[in-house]
Amino acid sequence: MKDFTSHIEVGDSLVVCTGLVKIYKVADLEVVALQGLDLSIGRGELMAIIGNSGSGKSTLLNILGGLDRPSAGSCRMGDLDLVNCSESDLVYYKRHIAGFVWQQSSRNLIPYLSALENVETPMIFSGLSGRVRRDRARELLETVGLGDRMGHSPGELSGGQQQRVAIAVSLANDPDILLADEPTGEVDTETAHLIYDLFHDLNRERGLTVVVVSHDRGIANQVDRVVAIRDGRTSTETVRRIGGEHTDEVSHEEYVIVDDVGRLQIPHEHLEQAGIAGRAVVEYDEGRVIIKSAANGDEEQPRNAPRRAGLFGRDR
Amino acid sequence: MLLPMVVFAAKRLLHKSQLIVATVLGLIITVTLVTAVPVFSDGMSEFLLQRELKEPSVDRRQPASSVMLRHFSRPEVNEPPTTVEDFLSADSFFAHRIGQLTGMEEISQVTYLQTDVHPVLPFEASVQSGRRERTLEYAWFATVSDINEHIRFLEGRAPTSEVGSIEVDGEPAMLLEVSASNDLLDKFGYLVGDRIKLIYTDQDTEDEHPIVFDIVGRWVPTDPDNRSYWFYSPISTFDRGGFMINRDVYLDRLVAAFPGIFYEATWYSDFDPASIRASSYRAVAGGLVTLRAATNQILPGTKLDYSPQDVIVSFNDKLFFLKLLLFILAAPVVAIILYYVSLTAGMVIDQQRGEIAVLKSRGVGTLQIVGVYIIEGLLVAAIALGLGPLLALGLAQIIGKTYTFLVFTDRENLPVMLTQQHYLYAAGAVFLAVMATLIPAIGAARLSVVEFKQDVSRTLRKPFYQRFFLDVLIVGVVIYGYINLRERDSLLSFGPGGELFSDPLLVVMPVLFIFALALLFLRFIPYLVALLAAVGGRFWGVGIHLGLRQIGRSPGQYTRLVLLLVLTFALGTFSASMAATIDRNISDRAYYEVGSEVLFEETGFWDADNGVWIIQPADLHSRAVDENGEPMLEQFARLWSDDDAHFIPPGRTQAETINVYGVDPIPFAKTVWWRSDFAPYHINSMMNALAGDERALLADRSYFGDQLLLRQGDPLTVRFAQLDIEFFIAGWIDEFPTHYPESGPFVVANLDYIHRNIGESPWNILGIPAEGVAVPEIAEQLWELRIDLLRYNVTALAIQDSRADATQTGTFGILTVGFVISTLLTLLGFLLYSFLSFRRRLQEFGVLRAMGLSVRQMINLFMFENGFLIGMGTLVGTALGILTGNLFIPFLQLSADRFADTPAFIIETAWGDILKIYLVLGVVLLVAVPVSIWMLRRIRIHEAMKFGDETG
Repeated sequence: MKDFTSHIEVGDSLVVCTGLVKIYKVADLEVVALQGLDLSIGRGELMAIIGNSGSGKSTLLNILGGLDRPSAGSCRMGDLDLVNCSESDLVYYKRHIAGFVWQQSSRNLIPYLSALENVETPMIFSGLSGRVRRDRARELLETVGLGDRMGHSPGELSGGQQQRVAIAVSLANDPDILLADEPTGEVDTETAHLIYDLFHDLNRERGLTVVVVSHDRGIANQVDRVVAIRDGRTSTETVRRIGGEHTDEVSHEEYVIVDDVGRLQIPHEHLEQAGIAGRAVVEYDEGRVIIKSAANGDEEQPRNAPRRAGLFGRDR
Repeated sequence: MLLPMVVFAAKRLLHKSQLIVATVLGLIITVTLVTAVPVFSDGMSEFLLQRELKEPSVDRRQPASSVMLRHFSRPEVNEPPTTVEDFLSADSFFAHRIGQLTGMEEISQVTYLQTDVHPVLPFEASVQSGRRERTLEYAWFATVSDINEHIRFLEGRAPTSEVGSIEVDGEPAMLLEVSASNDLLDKFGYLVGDRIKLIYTDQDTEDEHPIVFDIVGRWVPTDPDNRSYWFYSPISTFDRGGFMINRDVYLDRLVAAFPGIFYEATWYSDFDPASIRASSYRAVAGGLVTLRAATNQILPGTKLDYSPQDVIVSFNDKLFFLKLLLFILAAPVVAIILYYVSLTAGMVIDQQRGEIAVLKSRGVGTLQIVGVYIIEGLLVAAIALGLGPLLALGLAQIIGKTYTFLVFTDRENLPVMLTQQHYLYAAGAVFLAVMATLIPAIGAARLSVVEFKQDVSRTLRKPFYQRFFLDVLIVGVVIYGYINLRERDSLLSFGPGGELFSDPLLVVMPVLFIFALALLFLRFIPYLVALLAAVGGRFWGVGIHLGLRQIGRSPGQYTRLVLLLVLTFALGTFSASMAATIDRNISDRAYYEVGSEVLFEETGFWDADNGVWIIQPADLHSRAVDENGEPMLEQFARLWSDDDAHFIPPGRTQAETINVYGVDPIPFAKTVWWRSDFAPYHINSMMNALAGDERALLADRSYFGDQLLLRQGDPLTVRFAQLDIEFFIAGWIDEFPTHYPESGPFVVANLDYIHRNIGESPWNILGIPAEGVAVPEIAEQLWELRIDLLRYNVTALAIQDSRADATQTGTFGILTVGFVISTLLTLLGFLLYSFLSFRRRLQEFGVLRAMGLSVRQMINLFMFENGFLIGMGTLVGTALGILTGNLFIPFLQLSADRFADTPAFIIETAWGDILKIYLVLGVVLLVAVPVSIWMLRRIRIHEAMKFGDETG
């Protein structure tokens, strides 16, 4: 039995990705899906990755799921380096560390096997004995609330039920982290809630780390933290706070990610509002950094020496 | 972990049943066909071997399945005679162990002992006077095991083993009891109760020792025709002087008293021919070789005279050849089937890629997935291995009943059975087939989900054989082979016994040619499609336009199928044409040899006093009638020939020998079997020319025309014996039934004219029997009519004989069966492809319907696509088959037999069979089209979209 992750305490970083780059070669065309992405996920976290289609979020999830290898950068899952590990480590990783739930149930479930058999399948291949397998599969299906549907085949289940079976399947080998790719993409709102509730329960009761990928910004209400990806890089991060200082309201705070080397992405609307395009002026002003349109900055003489954004460098 | 994996694999199999059936079918058929070849050839060999073993031999009495060992004492004069001890130790081996040694089942075993031949005379007669009187008879003592079970006593009884003593000329002598055959006693004039003495002369001392015997019994053999016992004819051997005594008397008394009297010991065993099986004959042959080698050591002076070894050895050669030929013939079919198996397996696996991706994303390793496929393969293999060999038994019978290509006849069943060896073949076939299914599986298992998506875009890459120009390379090899075959033209010798295809190159080259051109053709499909799309795409409506686009865009998907179709149809057409050509030429050759349906060889009565032949008039043949008074011969005509007529070519003095054929033009034209290429004119106009002038003559064009440069109308004098007759050349002729160019130039003239000039001499009669009349019945009638019929020759029988030939039956059987199988499989493959491509493209269809394409347009699209591919495959395949036939079939005649050129070899294209093939195709399409339309009509747009997305 290999052990890469058990020593990581709740709250510590389970996943640390730094400078992830993924380049696809299709025919003679190169597509850069990730261009130096940084991300860290703590153990026990329930978080979401959002982004528009083509932003690279699915690529990131594929890498996190061990389905694909990054071209460069580093991606560590505990002690396991997903960039350089051996093929057999990767199989071990997929089998025991990461569980995967896809949007389409055809990717999650094998249509001719019953729900119970579907949950058992991953355990067959990891060599669990029959009795253990069966008991565990029952327990998992009961956990996802399908204790009465064990013998049904996927075709006999609703979309939401299929997704729940899929979740049970992904949990079969007791993973550390559950990765879900648009798990509610094909179900109605009510079912979606049900699924998120399930994620919450799993997260809270089992301490399971859950990463959900979505293109829906509304997901922020369901998870603790939302990382937005844009053009293959993390752009903003939104943290949910319940209660706040005085009220029970749920509030969101959106942060911009500043990477190791000091680069950040400024939301488009802010750029437009400030009329910033091309070059910008950056100033330090008593604990704040002010970014101004370069055109405005030319008229006023700044108190401190203005710097061009491109040369921003390390001295912040 | 293995057991749940097996369960998992089994569940998968059950789930995919409708798809997997295609693969399982392929596997079963592969095993069946591969196993059927040795089963058939063994069964056929068995049949032939049994026939040869059971067939009475012309030149010996003993059956072919018998073993006969003969020992003669003292082959050299100065050697000591064989002792009883030596004999007994040899006897214990030769009489009991041969069956065990060779593995044959003994029917009977006979041990025979005899003394040399010595003079005998009545007891009272004196030796001296007897010799002088020249009345001396010669006889010997013999003992045969179990003789009392094979004889019946007419008089007296069997001899006892009592040996008395009696005085002869004052010396004591032995007194024995003997029995003798009825014929022997009659011949010698002895009676039961007579006392006879035999004078034995010791070779070393020249001393004479009389041995006295009483005849106590007279017998006849009860089963003289039983060749398993009477290995010497009881009529021609024992009546010459063999007096029967008991074995103990022979060994314990006679030989004990006179060691030199031991002369011959023969061990004869007849074995059940059925115990010499094609599967075991090698062991038998091995045992016989051992026996032959050991014989002289066991008892010097012993020889293995007869054994089935010769039959077995000659049979072994034939069997080897037969099997080799059949495997060569079956190889391309097996290749096609394996290709089919791989193809369908690939198609099925393409469908499962999503599932493989699911498993892989759950941490199932590549090897585990391959493992699941291997387990599946083994499960399927078990089914195939269970069913295939059993089906092979039936298939072998079908092969054995093949008359000619695609034509079967009712024949005796072959003695087929399954042996361990056959199961080895079956296992080999299963192994190949499972490997064929695993190759695409391994390819798919290796890919991860992400790679799989990328892989889709790679279908545009050319297949490996195109990238490495393998197809061009094979074409090169074939061209070399073709040139090679052409140059060997005159060097080719006949196969052992003049079988067909004595040269494997003749079979291999065309097949290779077909494969090469089919591969080469694939290169041009995209251009062809592009051309079609450019030329007609815009005129033919949206459906066809889209169809062409789909085909042009993804060549990888269907090329393999088109290749399968092209190969199948090309091989089918080629096989059909080859079979038709061989069949046609076998039949033509037989007709040519006979001249018509039947040839009656007749003679007359030679009146030596007047020096003339007295022959019944030919018209008498019309009086051969059946019970209703209907003539039994529908047509008949005289055919007279003289192969020793002479002719002096113009400008020379030396006479040349020519063949003259005399006919009665009008009936001959109606009776003779004629082919239009025999002469530049129609048979009727030639015969009219003969009838128009009695001196008219048809002359061998190659000799009189091309060589001697004579012209039509030139006079020609032919000398028959002493008489010259004047003719003139009325026309040319190239070939004439019954005439072979090897016997020299020939002319055809009016028989009446010849006979009027040189007198009558016997002729033959060509005839066409009336419907349903058997030739022997006609012969019966002719004899009753006092026609001097010597013998007759029936064409149909000759054809039937050659068709029953093992090689030919096997050839056509394998070709037919192979063709039927590969056609069905190809069509099955196509249906499967349509079905799967339909499912794969549901999304596309859904989008098209959402875009407003009518169901009719979609049906057009679908039909056009499939129709285009099937049409292209079949047409190109057929054309390729015909081309191959025309290029390679001519080589066959070189190896056929020695009169290969007569009549000229005609290449047949089996249009009839090709039509049958298309008919089968049509029927299958007729079923497939409504099913497809039904499926298309059922598409609901939103489902199609969703489903398409899921399978994507």
